Amino acid sequence: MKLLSMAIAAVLINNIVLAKFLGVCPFLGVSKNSKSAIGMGLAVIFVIFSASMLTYGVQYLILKPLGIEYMQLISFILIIAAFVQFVEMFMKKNMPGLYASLGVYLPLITTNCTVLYVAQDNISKGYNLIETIVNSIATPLGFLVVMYLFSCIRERLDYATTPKPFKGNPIGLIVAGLMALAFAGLAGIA
Amino acid sequence: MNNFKNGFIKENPVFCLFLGMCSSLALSTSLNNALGMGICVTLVLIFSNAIISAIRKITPDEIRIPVYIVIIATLVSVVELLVHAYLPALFDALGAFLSLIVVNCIILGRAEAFAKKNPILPSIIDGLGMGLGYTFALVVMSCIREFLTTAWVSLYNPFDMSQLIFRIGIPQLSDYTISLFGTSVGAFFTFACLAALFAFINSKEKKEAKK
Amino acid sequence: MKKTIKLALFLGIVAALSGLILGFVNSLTEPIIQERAVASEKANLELMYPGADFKIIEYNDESGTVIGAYEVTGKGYIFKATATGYNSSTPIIALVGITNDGKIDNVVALQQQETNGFGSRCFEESNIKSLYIGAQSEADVDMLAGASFTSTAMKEIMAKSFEAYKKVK
Repeated sequence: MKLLSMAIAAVLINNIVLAKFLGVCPFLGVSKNSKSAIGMGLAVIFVIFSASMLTYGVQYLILKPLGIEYMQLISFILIIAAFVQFVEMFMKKNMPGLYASLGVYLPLITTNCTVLYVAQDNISKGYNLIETIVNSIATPLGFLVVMYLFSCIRERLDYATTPKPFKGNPIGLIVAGLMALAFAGLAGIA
Repeated sequence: MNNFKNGFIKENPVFCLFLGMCSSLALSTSLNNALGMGICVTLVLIFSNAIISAIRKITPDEIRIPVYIVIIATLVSVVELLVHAYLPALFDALGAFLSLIVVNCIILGRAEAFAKKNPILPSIIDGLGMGLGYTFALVVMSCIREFLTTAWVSLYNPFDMSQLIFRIGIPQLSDYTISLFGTSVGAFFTFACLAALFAFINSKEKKEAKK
Repeated sequence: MKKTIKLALFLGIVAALSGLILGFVNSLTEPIIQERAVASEKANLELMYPGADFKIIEYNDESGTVIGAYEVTGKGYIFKATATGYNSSTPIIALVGITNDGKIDNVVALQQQETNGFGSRCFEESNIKSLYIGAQSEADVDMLAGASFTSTAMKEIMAKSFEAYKKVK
């Protein structure tokens, strides 16, 4: 029960984009159509989950026993960067179909702050392994949900008449603000 | 010098290039946080640009990105430790965003676009200009948001939060504050309006240049 | 092959250098960070009872609500407790002072980001007085209309503090 409410909170209430402002760059950049939004969202779920597992292991098997927790930031970011690179190479060689649909988003993920944030969040909140798994699936799932909704709105936005300075990203941000308002109404259900 | 001025309006990294948006949305709730974050980012940017430019001739091209990431992560960790030790109030306010400077696109972006092919001094100036542009964006946003939520804009001494440096505002408005602007909704709205304003100024300048 | 070794060596040197620098900075800042943590905890307790003597007591709350317990010499106890109100990303952390005769006589919120104008009213001075102070058990703690999430969380904090009080006394 606790895990379920934790998952709901991570997907809807503490939504990583709308409430925590992380991953706003890909949120605006890759949401021009709903197909690429889903592709990006799925890639993010995969990378965050695997990277969180790796960093969780590194933190409790290497950094903590050695007492060098101040190296956390460096090791985490290197793990994430190396992992993304590795996945990209592996996919290109062995799963060309999947690579064609998800591959283009992979390099973008290294600079996506959500990956590093979730990895550090798991450690700083003192989650155990199961909680870490739930958190690192639910959080990017929230990203996917919002990303998809946003891209659907944006597709229609292209045909709307907006004041010229607002064209493009500014009106997108206004929409994001309205979405944040709607999501804030969900607070308290977990 | 031109580089330096560009960082503020024409190529403001936040409002025009849409870089480093996450932290500018999250940390513009008060002037204190905005200034603190801006200064941290500027420091990291100056040093990372300087170091990357200094080793640009011996860095093998194939692994330049991991090398940059290690350098930036080291600088960020140092800043984080120092802030934690000497400015605990700021450390609490910035929270996770302090270590997320590592993935702030401005820093890696400037390393790739400028520092890796320019000598040290221009790289430092570029870092300073971009950092100040980022700080400027945060400060503008935080002043608007703090004023709308509390009717005041105040700055505290970061070493001792009980010491007020200055405080301006319109007390008559304190019954009419909009607390929505302190939340994420207000952050998105403020950012959108400012981005539109910058787009407007730039398009006007372009038109005048054409004439 | 030779090239790979060269690349790995370069990256290794950069990483080793950064590790050295970080280790050095860490050794400088760590004592200060720890000292500050102790000092700020003490300053929080001073908020409740200025000038009193405090002693840390061991208390383990299985529910995780009470996260610290202190004895105030000659006066009573202070419990540091946390619970989640309406804002699920930032839990409320509060200090609850219970005197030796079993009454709450001071409540200080160390951290709360409840909705302005609704939940936040639970932490206004006049409301702290009327809602919590003087309560002798959880049942005496009143709810505030329009702030039920925050009130429930505060009630939880009080309930667990009373529980802890009974055990340590």
